[in-house]
Amino acid sequence: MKSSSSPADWTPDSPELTDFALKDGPYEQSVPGWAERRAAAEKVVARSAALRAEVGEIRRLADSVETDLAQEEIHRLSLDRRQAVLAYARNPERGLPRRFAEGLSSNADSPWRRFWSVLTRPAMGLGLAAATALSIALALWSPWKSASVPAGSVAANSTVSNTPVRKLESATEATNPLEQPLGDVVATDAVPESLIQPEIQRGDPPPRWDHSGKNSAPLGEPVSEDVPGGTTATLAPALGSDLSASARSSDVASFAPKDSKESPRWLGQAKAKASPSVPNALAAAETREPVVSPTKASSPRRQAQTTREIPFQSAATTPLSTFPLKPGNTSYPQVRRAIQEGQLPSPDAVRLDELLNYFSYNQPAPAGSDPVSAHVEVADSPWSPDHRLVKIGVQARPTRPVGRPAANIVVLVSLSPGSAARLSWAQRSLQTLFETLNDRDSVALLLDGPRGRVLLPPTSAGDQDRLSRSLSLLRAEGAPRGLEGLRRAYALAAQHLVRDGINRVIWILDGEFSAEVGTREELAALIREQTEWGVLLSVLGFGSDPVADPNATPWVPTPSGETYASVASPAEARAALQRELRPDPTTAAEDVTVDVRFNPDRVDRWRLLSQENRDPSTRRAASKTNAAAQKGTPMEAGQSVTALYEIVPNRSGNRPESAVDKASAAVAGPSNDLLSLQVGYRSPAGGTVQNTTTNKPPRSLQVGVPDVHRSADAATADYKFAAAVVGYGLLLRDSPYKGDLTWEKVQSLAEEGQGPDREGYRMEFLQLVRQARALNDSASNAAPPAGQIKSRP
Amino acid sequence: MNPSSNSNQTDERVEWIRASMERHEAELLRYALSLVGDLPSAEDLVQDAFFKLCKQEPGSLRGRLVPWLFTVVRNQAMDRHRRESRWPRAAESEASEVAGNAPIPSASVQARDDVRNLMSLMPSLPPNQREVVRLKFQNQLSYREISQLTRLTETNVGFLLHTALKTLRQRFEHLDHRPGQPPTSSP
Repeated sequence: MKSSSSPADWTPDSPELTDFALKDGPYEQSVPGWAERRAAAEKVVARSAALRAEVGEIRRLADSVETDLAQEEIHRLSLDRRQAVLAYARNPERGLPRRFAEGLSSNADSPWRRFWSVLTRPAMGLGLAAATALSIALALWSPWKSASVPAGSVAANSTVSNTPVRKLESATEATNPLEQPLGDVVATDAVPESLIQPEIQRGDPPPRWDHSGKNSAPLGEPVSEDVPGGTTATLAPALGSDLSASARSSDVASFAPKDSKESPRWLGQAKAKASPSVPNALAAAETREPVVSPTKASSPRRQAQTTREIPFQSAATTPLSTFPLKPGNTSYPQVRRAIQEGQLPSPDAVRLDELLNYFSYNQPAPAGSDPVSAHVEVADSPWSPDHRLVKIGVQARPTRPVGRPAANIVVLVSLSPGSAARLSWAQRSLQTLFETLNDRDSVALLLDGPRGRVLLPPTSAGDQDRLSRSLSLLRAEGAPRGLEGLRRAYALAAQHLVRDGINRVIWILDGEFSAEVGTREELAALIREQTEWGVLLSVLGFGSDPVADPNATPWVPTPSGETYASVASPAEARAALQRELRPDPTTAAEDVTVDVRFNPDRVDRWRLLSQENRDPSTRRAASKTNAAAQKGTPMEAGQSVTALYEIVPNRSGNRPESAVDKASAAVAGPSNDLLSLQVGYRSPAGGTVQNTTTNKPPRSLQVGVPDVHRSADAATADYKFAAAVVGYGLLLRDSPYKGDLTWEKVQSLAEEGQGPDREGYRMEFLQLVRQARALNDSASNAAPPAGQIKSRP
Repeated sequence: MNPSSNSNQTDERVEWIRASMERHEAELLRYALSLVGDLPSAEDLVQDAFFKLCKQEPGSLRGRLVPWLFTVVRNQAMDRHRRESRWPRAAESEASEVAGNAPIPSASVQARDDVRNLMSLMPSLPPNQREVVRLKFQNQLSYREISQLTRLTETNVGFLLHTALKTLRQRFEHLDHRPGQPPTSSP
């Protein structure tokens, strides 16, 4: 047998072909010259159909073996064993714990135990010497020696390893590794130097990621999900923003850190990235208000409103305005659900700013070194042509796509049988997700269920064929085991933890899933523990709708650190999965403030298209948000916010009279400007938030916005779409400010505003407009229910 | 080890141990189970390896923790078998088949459903091939790591894998299965 034949001599039977196919041995990346060797072999293989076929067979078989081996049950050390180890770690001088020393073997007099007692005795030197001497002596006849030499055909190939061994201080040092079968001495104290492979990452100390600055995200604010192309945005409100909702869910509150200051650093990242959210809280939040109005009649609906829109303000007396940088994100899904169920949503569920910001708009990215940019577009209001509608967008610099750290993704699929459609969504959206990964990333796919199995052991995403094959094996087997499945998923994730990377278990389940009551605490503890280790969990509820059917709400305990998204369409599924790959949010700018100053010379009255009154819990959040907006909030990379103002132009030409007005007019700059926009910020220094706020001077962008008189028809697609979304809200609210807006107008704006619409969100919105229009038509033909008439004042 | 090591060092070590257990116990347990065949013994081996790890300075094994832990587990398993006189790996005895067969509990459930699963063919491999296959494809160790662990040469590791894969393929094809289609069962 040739010890290393040249590729030119290879036949399909050559052992070297296996090395090549597995990219190991001489072809492994850490071996000097591997690249040249691989290239040379590739040339040879490419020329021979037989070799090519053989390489393919070897790789396929290796995949299968790997997949099958991954099916083996995953065990963990029992809690008491772990605790014993940790107790010993605290004080190794004290000797091994009694239980261990005694209970190591069921046979109290076994040599196993005696060996241990020797090892653990304080007189280690003597013990070790004896043990080592014994081991050497035994090694001379140990059957293991022959075991280490492959029998039969391999014998010719086997040589004694002369791996250098670190010099032992002990006088009983053994010099030939083969002569140390006992191994304790060698293994413990003298691992061969050649084991030192700096590139082995998983051997590194535990990940203690420093997500500096991530703690800066105010807990009390709803977190906007700034995903390109919009977002599912059905994440529950932030813990702090909706205490009432969270408090109602005792499952939830108990998992939240009592004090964010006590949270480990990594938690900050999680909080900034995704608000601590829970399906239960989601359900509570969404059912907080009557979502569906039983009546279709217009005036009772208005009467029932508790959330008033912000009215017009006089530019002369109130020239200054601002808007929150992170609007909430629950309104659109509520509205969508109601419409899709054939009912008009309650006016209170319709929040203009949230609808508007559900979508993303093509705002120009900041130029140069500015971390934020502002963009303003003015046209005549589509519903009050005498008025102007001003669209203001603030955009933080985008995340650099090349900056995404390596990802370690484990997908756990727990779908109930009979949900073929969901299964197909899952497959398609996972396929899209996988395609965005590259060979730095690792993916594993795990199927939960009575026959739960690993469909894909952690595999480099460079092997797309294999990833696709594994997806085709996905089945909805039903009866997911939940705890067991998740435990295995975490174990797979732990095998390939990437430091400073994305470590995430994505759990896909549907409304049928419910963890058994008995396992809930365990499930919660598991998630908490793993989150602490940096493996975050994303739960995607496919097709589940916690509001429509609270009983179908998947019960998943979700301590902070993971996201929950209810996914109701394939496009949402794709977007939600993409979001999980978002790099850790980095702060693009600190202390961002937005000041809109209206020029009383040109503006008579103005109003922000938003609403001011909410129920107490959200009002609290709103006031917090406003306070934060005044003080300045950080903006994450890629984050954007859009606001619409409706302006009644000042046609009288009257100059402001009061001192305040004069001052404001002076500040407003050239009197031709309709308004001036000032975006204040501090550039993050890359250090902690505290440092940046003290070290970096505040800066600001100033944009003067001249008055433009042009029809909305001439505006950009983005502008039209934004107007359509808010106009839709105005009609659903039956707003007093809707002017002469009609469903027809909203629909045509939405149609004209489609734009590229890569994710299909704008098309979905158009559908909703058509549906709402039809609902409204049928409702206006129906008599108002008696109950509603009675409720009139 | 310095008994007067301050509490910071202790905390650091405890954290290190905790993290190491968290990340490696599962793969070590699987491996240990494949060596000794029963879970309590495997747990003994793994716990034992972590006890030994406590004696190391945090950071001293940077970059080689995984091979180190596998080496400790393997050496102890060897020792255990030798001392209890049931280390039949060299001889292809019946006992080795049992030991090699036992540690696939969940897979054996699968195997019951699908006897043509590749895993069902694993026990037919010689123990040394089985071990190398496992280290390579289950624990994702490289030839070099496997050679350090098993004290075989890298060439030898490669040859064992080559032979094992070949055997598996032949037997698999004999079962009228194509390896190109992973032998998964459909619901």
